[in-house]
Amino acid sequence: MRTKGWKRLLSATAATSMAMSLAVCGGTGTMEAKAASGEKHPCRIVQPGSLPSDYETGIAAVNKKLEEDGVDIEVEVIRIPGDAYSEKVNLMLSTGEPFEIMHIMQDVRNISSYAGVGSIIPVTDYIDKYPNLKEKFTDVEWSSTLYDGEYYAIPDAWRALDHNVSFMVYREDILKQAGYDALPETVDEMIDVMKKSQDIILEESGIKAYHWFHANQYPANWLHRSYDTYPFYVDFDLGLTLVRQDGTVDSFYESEEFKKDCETYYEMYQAGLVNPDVLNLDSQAKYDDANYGAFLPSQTFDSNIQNKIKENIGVDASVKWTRIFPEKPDLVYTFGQNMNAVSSTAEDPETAFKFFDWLYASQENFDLFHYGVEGTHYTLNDAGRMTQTKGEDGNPLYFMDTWITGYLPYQRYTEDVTEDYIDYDTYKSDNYVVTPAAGFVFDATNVQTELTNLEMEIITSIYPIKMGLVPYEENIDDAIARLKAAGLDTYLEEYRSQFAKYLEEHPEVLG
Amino acid sequence: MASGKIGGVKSHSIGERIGSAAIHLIIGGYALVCIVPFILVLIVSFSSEKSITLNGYSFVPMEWSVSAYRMLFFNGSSVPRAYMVTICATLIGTLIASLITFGAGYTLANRHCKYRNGLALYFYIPMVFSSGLVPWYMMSKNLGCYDNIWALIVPSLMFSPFNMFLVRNFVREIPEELDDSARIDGAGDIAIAFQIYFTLCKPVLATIALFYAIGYWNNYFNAVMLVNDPDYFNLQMLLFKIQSEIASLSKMAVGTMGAVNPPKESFKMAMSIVTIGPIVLLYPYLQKYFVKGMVVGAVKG
Repeated sequence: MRTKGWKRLLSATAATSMAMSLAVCGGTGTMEAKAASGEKHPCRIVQPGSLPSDYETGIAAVNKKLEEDGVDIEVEVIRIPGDAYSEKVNLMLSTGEPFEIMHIMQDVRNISSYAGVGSIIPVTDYIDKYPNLKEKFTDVEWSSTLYDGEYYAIPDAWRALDHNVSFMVYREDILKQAGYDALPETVDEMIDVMKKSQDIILEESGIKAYHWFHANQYPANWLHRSYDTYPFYVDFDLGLTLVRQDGTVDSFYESEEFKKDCETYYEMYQAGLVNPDVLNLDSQAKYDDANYGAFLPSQTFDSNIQNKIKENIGVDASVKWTRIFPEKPDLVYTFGQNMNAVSSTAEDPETAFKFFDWLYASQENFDLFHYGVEGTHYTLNDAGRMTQTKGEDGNPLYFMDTWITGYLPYQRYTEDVTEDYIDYDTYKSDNYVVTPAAGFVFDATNVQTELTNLEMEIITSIYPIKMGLVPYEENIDDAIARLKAAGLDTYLEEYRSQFAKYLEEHPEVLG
Repeated sequence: MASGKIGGVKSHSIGERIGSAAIHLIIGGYALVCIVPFILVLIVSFSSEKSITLNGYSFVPMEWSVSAYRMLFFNGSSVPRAYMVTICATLIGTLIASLITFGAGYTLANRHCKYRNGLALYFYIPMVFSSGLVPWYMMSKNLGCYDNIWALIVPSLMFSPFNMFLVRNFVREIPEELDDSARIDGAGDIAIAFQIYFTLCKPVLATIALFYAIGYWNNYFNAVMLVNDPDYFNLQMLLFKIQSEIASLSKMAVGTMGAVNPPKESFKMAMSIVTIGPIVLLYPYLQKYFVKGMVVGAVKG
């Protein structure tokens, strides 16, 4: 009996502790409670990245301003590390977790893959209700959010998309020492510049400088501009398709253009202009070197690199962004790379429009959300340039990335950004062509398996040839055979089929 | 010369000595291969950023610096809080997990438990087949293990069928006569389990405690999926964030004015050292139990 009594007591204690521990488990935040009471609608914005260290202060100020402006929403930003963003957003959508706005990066996962499965909802009905917001973006920018005849997102016009494949960043001071007044206009001279620059930089800092892709998956846009067959567009994702101006879709890795790319890069690799560890290094390696002035003309790098060079090696470098082969037209390859969509689990979809309508209504609102409280998180000089208050880790106390919810006319630059960079960033091309693929959104649902296999195979078989580590002629046949085994032809067939349908529905594309 | 005893001391043949020397050399070499990268990481964490950029990773840096550690533990840094969260989750989780696992293992090993083999299958099947991420996420949220410390303790980590089978097999090796004599003396199931078997199971408990502690310490997935509040980020989550931010740099468009400066090399190494921290010290302490626990059931007594 005594044993039974003790057993019962123990069981009761265990059950009570378990119940108490569940009760103690954190419940949901205050947003749902507030919404339920009818006070304010929650506006939960899911974005990739990390929250700034003084997020609470900044967002409290935003919500206070929203209240003062009579907007009945309360904003919360939920940040998810970039590597886990897609997976966690999928989870949240699959489990019906409520949130209002999610960010879409077309170059990572395009809008069709969300809209096609009902993860985001059409917003066509709301656009006309918010004419001020509608006017902020051009028809072309709105068209980038179209899927199956409906608008599915609010554009994120944080940069012009008519020129960033045309520019190269280089050190003008080194170029002059190499005996050139401007960036050369032939590939051979460009390689000569790189070789001479490398020697000069090695003497200056002791670091061997290299030419870099922005990311290994990017095509060699600077080389393509030199070809007679330019303009054409090679996709930035896997580089599988080459779309010509007449609407033809070719297999890029089987093309003459790719062959020429590889031959040039092989020559560059043999000359030591490409880092031997290019396939393995993370992107920080190139930034580290660049901060010490050790980089060759490339299509990458930061806006404030000139000041970092001065800080680190005391050299007054002159970093420039210049259009290469300037007589060639610029290429518009997309109408919108980033956008913000309304989640299918949103409790009140209209809150997204209320938020963006408020955000883009004035410079003041834009500054508050992105840069924080003036005087606390940043100060402005007379020219409108910003000095951000930084924490001990070197990062701004409060900063919401403008590439996620930006609007180019309102965007500010920090004091250390050069005028040359601002000219590059705000450059408006008057000589450009639009690739037929610009408004086309490929839905990879039917070829998902092939896409996954191709991703792995491209990294293994194509990148070494592309970067010039191995010669083209001896390796390309085997690489193409592997790509075909991975489903290249199936993928291309699906792409061509969807693209042909798109061209049929939009005859104005080919003019 | 054959081995034998000379004056009561066992002597070894030349062949045995050579063999022993070779084994020591191989094992020593392997140990060196394991420890050298760790030493390099430690040294790089105390190198200046300039030294790393100019000379790469080096055992003898051009310039020593503690700036990485200063950055880690600056006033307002999230590292001390993450440390506290990790230690709490590890201690609480290991304690509860070991208790639950012992309870389950003892029960399944007890011949008085009816249907114990069927129950064992009930544990075995989920060990092999997972339900998937979505049910796991839903279950965790519905249990309230979201955006709090329990998100780092309960989901996926609080019970391991593998560890439970380890305990079960160990308990089976203990003579049943102990159980019989305790019952004759009037002890109940709880008393037998905790006063007799629990103390005898120290080797296997130490083993599973080590497994659980390492699992809790190294876990980042729960934090990534179930925690949004930075106050509940553990150390591994901070490391994951750093790596993710670096990877994101290459995906951003050219010239993006981003919020985050890429963390420096020395900072990353210092973060790694700080993350390894106490868990490395756990091994020597549990060493004497570890070997015995792992070979449980291998030799019949």
